[in-house]
Amino acid sequence: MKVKTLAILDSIISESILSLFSEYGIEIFPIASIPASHEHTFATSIGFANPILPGILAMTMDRDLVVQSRPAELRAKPPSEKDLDDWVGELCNQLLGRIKNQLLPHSIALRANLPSTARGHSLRRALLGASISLRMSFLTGSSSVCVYFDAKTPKSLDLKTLPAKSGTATEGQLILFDDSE
Amino acid sequence: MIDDSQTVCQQVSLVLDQGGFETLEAADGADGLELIQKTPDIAMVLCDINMPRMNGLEMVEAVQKSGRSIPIVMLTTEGQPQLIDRAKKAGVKGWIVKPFKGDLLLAAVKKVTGEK
Repeated sequence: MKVKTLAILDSIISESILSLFSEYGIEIFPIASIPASHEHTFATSIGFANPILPGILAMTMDRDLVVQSRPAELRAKPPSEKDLDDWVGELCNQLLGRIKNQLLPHSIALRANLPSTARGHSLRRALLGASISLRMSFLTGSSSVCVYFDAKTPKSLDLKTLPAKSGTATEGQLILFDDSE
Repeated sequence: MIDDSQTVCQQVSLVLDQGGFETLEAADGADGLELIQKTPDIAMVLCDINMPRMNGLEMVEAVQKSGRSIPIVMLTTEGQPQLIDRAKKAGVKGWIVKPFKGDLLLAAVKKVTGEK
């Protein structure tokens, strides 16, 4: 794996995490590792398929962050545990969406599976033979999130730095089609 | 509103309720198709793409095949031009990439339904 390719992937994923949480009003900061006092009781993952970049995106976070990151419209009502399970899965889905859309200009179209969520204590990730394994930790107040991007990819994968582009619809964008087109 | 995320359905319902719309919900394309077929007075459909059983684009194409004319706007994390083109060819009226802003969603729904 070329160092530059790994750096580009790292940057795409990191920017996607920051912008996703920012969208929900939460400013997070990269940290080297999650403080031992933080217990991540929610875990979620989505598999993705592509001939040269198949893998899994996973996130773990503490309950407070799951609650705080919910859409503003829903914050007035206390969530049930089922609501939180659903939301953490959707959050991972939206994170993968951002990563997917940033990989499109590199001619990599990931096909996403459906998210799955786990809740419990001392959750740990099992690493299943990935050739790329990126782990990123972020802090906000007394909460934190950890994101894992594991993929099996050939050594020949070569991502280039690309100019901003085109064609791909971006998060929050609304396109209405003109009937006359 | 067709989405397998209950959170997204709740969020959309709240936004549209505030705009004076009544919202029905379905959790995947197959349920959505059934709901559309048995409900004649649906003004429009908002639909996710990646869902279990039947995805959103398959549902849109099934609605088109059934001859039912109903405005559909996709609400998805997908931004891929090929998917947008496929949806457009199937008669979809618009495309919103999640996460969405409530005011933008409401404006789009009003425009598509012709409500003021």
